[in-house]
Amino acid sequence: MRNENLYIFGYAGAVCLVCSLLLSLAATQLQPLQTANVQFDIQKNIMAALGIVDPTKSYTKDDLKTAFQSVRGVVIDSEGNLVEGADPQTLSEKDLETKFPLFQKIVDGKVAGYAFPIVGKGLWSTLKGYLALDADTVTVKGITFYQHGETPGLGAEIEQTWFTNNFKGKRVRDNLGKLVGVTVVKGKASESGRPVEHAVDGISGATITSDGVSKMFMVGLVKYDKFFSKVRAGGL
Amino acid sequence: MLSKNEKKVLTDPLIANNPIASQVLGICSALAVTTQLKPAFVMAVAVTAVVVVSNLTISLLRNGIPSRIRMIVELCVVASLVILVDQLLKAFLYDLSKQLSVFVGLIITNCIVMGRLEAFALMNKPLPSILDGLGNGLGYSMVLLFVAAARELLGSGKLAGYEVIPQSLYALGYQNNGLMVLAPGAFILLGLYIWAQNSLFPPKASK
Repeated sequence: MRNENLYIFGYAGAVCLVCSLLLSLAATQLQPLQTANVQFDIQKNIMAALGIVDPTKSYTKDDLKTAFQSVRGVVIDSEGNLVEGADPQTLSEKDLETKFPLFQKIVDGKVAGYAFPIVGKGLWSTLKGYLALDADTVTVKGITFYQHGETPGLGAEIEQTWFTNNFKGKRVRDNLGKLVGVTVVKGKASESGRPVEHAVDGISGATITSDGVSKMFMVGLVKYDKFFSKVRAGGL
Repeated sequence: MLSKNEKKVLTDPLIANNPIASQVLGICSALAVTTQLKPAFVMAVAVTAVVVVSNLTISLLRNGIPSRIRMIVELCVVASLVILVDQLLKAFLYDLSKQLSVFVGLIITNCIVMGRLEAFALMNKPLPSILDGLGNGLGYSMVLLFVAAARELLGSGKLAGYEVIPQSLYALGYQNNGLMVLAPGAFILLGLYIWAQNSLFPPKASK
């Protein structure tokens, strides 16, 4: 009887049904918690890049909420103009092709820094993070990574502070004003022959991830370049 | 409390029949998540939970599972449990789940889980099955934590994220061993672990 076709099909169907019911129940019940976690994690990363919170500490959700009030979110288009009435945190995938979210750190009513998302390819996965520039739009204020699937201990080190802190104070333009970004070099930046204000130490054993970081840095900067040119020209 | 036989089921996989050190199962995750202690610990807990619950489930179902599709049923149960663990981690331990990334999902392919279902849960009662799962989970955890502690200490000079090796030692010229952070470091440590175990507790059946 246990080897009859009907029994086997019935059994397989029942197992599938129970498993899928269990999982969909878990998924729907846990989803609000998960989306809230992701949302808070993104906000924490924006603020960590801007230097408002310490990325190595954990904060309660209320603390993050309060701290996030000093951040103003705006949306710009590909020409570098502000888009009125758009919320940077609710842009859909399609919107993101033509509209770019930008977060401004506000101190005493003035903009003290800009943070924007950067996306690129690592070795195994898509790297997502935030890059923050000072009010001069040239000096790096900070960088964070909030999503990646790189090898723990190697590529995953990009989210560690020893790596991200190296970016602080680097300059994304050379003395002539040309956009050069910041390059993650192999080994020590000081021994790479590149100007140290445009280079940071690489991660040994994670060259492809490091290269991905250099690239995403540039891609992100190019996207926001028109806007920042306007800022420097005093137009915004 | 537990009969002699049940105790043996629980303690056997810790040393004599350790899933990693003596059966050499579940090596891939032992290499992948052991660069630091914290992710290794969460991984150990996750695997133990999955082995225990899947062992119990399959043991309860053992008289009804059609033998021709038994592996598919086992896989269904294991996969559901692993997704459940992943979802729970994402909801309650978000930071650590980010660190473990794909490796939680890969518990499905951990040979220990399927191995215990096939070798034990299919023909034993629920209680011994739970104990067997717990024993194997703990045996796996033991090796994982040993390798992770050694790799983090030698490779990054830290334990569970805390600086252990004093800065003064670095000033004297001490350097972290980069090899320990890479996969070969785990291979070497696992080899040493297996060697140490085999010489301290020689396997009885080996001839």
